[in-house]
Amino acid sequence: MKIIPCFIKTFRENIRDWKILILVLVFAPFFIYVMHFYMDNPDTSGYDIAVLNKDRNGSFSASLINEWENIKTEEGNPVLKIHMITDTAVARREIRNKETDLFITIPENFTESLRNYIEKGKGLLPPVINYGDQTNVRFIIASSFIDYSLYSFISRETGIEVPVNLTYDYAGSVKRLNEFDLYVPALLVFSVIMMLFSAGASIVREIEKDTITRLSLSRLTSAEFMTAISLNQIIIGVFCILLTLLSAFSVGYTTTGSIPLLFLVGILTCFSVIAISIITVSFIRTMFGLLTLGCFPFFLLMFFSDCFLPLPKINLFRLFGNQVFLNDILPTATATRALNKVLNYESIFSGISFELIWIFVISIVYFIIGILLFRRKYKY
Amino acid sequence: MSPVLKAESLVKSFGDVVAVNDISFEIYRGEIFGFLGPNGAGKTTTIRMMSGLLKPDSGRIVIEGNHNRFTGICPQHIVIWENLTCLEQMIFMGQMYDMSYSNASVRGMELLESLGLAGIKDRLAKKLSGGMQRRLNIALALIHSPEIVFLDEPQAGLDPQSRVLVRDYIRSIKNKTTVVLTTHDMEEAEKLSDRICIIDRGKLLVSGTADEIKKGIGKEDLIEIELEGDARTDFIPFIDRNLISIIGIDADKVSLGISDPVLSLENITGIVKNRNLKVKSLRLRQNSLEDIFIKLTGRSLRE
Repeated sequence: MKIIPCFIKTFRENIRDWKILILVLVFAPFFIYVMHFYMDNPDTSGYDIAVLNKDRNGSFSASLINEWENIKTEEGNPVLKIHMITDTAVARREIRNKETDLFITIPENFTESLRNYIEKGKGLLPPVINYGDQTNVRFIIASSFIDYSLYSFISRETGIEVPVNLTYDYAGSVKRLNEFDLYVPALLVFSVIMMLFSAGASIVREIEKDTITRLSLSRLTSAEFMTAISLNQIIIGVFCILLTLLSAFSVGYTTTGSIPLLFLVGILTCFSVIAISIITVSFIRTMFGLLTLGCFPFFLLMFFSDCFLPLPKINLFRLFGNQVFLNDILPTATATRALNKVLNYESIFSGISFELIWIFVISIVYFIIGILLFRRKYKY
Repeated sequence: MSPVLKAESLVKSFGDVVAVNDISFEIYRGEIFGFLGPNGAGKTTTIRMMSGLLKPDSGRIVIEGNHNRFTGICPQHIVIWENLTCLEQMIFMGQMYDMSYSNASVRGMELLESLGLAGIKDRLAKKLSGGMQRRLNIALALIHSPEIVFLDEPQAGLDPQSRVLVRDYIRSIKNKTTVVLTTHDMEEAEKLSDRICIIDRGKLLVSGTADEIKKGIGKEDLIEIELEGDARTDFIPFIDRNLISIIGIDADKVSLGISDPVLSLENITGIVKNRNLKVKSLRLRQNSLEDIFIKLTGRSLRE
């Protein structure tokens, strides 16, 4: 049984080549803290709103602005960060520079018009103008807050009954999700994607130093060699997931999802990343190559797995009642969805069984391709 | 005696370059077989084919016993695990050849002691000097006690003390292990090898014991004479070509091959006397393996 000594040897090398190991282990936890800093910080979270109030000294406009200022998150942080301006040109420049997400102009006779309406029961209210960059997602989200609170305010002040009331019901069976909650599963997958470098390094080290020749001349088969490396990397992957999860918990993230199920998805994802790293090193001979050319598959996995940028979904086909998207070609994309279901929607095993099977099958396919390419390239 | 390894009409090409061109030889159990040749002669390619790392395009290699367990290789470049200690990698490599941990450990220590590395057995390989790494490279090839070991330039980059240590060690294993070594060092090859073969441009030029080769190819002794004046015009045209062959002319220094020292010296001293030439130095010596090597492979530099 040569897997065990090969495993021990690779483990020692990984520990002693600590720079890559540290990079792999701390990268995702670092991003957890960065994301949390941006998303859960009253100074950095919330939407920037510039308000030009032409209705000077108007009581209704002052009440409306006050209402906007009092929209709070569950944690008590303001959702809208209002700042008053007096110059339209300044506000437009702020929008272009993305300093401000939304620019609202309250018309001159806002209070007077509203008062007239309340007294006479009829009349036309002058428009409140929203200005912003429609490609900026933050503009669209801020607009929805502004619109909703504006209509609620008018309805309450004028007594106009809206024939339909909107009720908001949030996904996630136990808690209301915030933006940071959505990043946690993505960053867990990102932590595993980082393993592309440690797994690749374990193999490239042997190629670069030509120790692969010694191994190929010995009785160690390539399957045993790959198994030993995979077991090592799965341990590293589990540590990556654990550290990322603990980092998320340390900044207040909570979940009632199944942690064992999370690790099951994580381990399968490790297996898929190892398979992709074998494919990668079939085209690379040196550590330099790994840290340069290896960035291509790394970025592919990162961007197309919804780790940072949610991409539009392109449907491929339906399989056993489940939609398969184009980016499911990358098992890490499926893993992000599965982890989101486990952590944020409290899905149980049956709820993600399709994703688990998909990740497993597609990882096997990648593994076979990797082994074939590796054998062809290195005759081992 | 039956050969332990037999190479028959080996041919190997890389693109348009024929690295090994129809080479045949036999290696016998317990001998040290030296492969000599200039850079790019095809030594390493031949060794890689013998050790099973390369497949010949045609021809075959017949090895007694199980190829993997039977052979060990010490490549020309240092092939070690930098982040393992000396002993760790000896044990690991032993285990890769189906040895138990304890057997690999004992054998590993034996080898480290023999090659002067026992005192640094727990040092990471990356922290060893170049010479120590080379010795570890040799030890790794021998961990599983192979019956035939291929040492590709084992003494390259070693200091004189390490060269002696390695040479003595190679001698000490020769009866238990058949050793095939490549080298550029003629003196080393002559001292170590029981038999030698010289290859160049993929062709086997000659093989046999050092004495056989010297007697067969370079039956002449050598006279090196240094003159005042131009040897090309004052000396060379008057020598008796039936007795003396010109090996090389380097300005005022001439190397001559002679088969009959008495008659040849008579001819040379006659020319010197008659033409009033002044001799700065004159040396008579036996043909060396290096002379044979240069004679067979020429003086031109190789890539």
